[in-house]
Amino acid sequence: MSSSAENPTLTTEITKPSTEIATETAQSAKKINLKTSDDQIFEVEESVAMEFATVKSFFEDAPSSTDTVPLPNVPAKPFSQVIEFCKEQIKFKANPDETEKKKSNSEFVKEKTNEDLVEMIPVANYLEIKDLLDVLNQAVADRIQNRSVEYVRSFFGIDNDFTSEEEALLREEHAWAFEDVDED
Amino acid sequence: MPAGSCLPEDMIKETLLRLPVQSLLRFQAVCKRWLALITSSNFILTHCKHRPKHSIMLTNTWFGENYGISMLEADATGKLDHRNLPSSPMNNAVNCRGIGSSNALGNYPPRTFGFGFVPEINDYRLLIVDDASLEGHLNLRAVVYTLIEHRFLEGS
Repeated sequence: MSSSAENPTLTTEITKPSTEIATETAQSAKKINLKTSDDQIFEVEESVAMEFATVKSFFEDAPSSTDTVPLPNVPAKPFSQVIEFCKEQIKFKANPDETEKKKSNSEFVKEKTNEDLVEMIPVANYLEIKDLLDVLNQAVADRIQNRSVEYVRSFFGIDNDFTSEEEALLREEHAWAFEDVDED
Repeated sequence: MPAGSCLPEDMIKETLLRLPVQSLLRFQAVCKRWLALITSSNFILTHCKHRPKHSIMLTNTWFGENYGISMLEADATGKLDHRNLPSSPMNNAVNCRGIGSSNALGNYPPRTFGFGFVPEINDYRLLIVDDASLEGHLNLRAVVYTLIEHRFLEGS
């Protein structure tokens, strides 16, 4: 058991057989249960959960409280990706390396679909994970910067509420801004 | 329904603040909510602070009758300065609603305007070119506004 005590953060399994819990020391990899809006329970390490400012203040307000923290605004799918991000971030807390961190962040967003990114934004916002919000906002900005208006509408699921005359006027006024746009 | 349609405005704003002016001018046509957000003075001010290298913005009355130009400047310290340009014979003829930024160029035949930072003299210049060419006879007239001197320089 000495090796696992030295590296408590390396035990990243979501669940553990209950028989093993008794052998763990009180400090090592304490787990917290987080319940999503669609009633899925995620068991995450305390160090990961403390990355969520919202959860952190929940425990600061009521230190000895409940086993399961409800996250009513957080669906499971984006939440699992948010956890993935925070686990990576924790590694850089212990061992800061800005270059590696940037590389890891860009790897993270590269693998995500447009929908993934857009779904994670409100979750990161609700959980107050500033680093992730920065990464997501920049990633979305990079993806839409050179795109057409139609692409952006479908990216965010926005309905066009202009009349065709109004839209034509806007396009005419800033015609130069509609040039050199990437193909959809 | 796609998830994005319920993104609150403050989260949309955080993304839009990271875009260059050309994208913002294009995305005014996305929907009415985006148009209102991008042309709001609050957004323009914040965008100025976010992008110090693009610290000149032209603002104008949306769907108004007045095409006068005003200029907004944010320096590196975030200090904001808003000033109306002095009147010029061409001032009300320039159709440049919305926002623009340094080193951008607009083209409204027969007028072209461009504005940018000139590092050598540490000045911002706004250039308006009026093309009065007739039947192959080239006739260009240009005026330049200088931010330092706060006036129009007439050229020919």
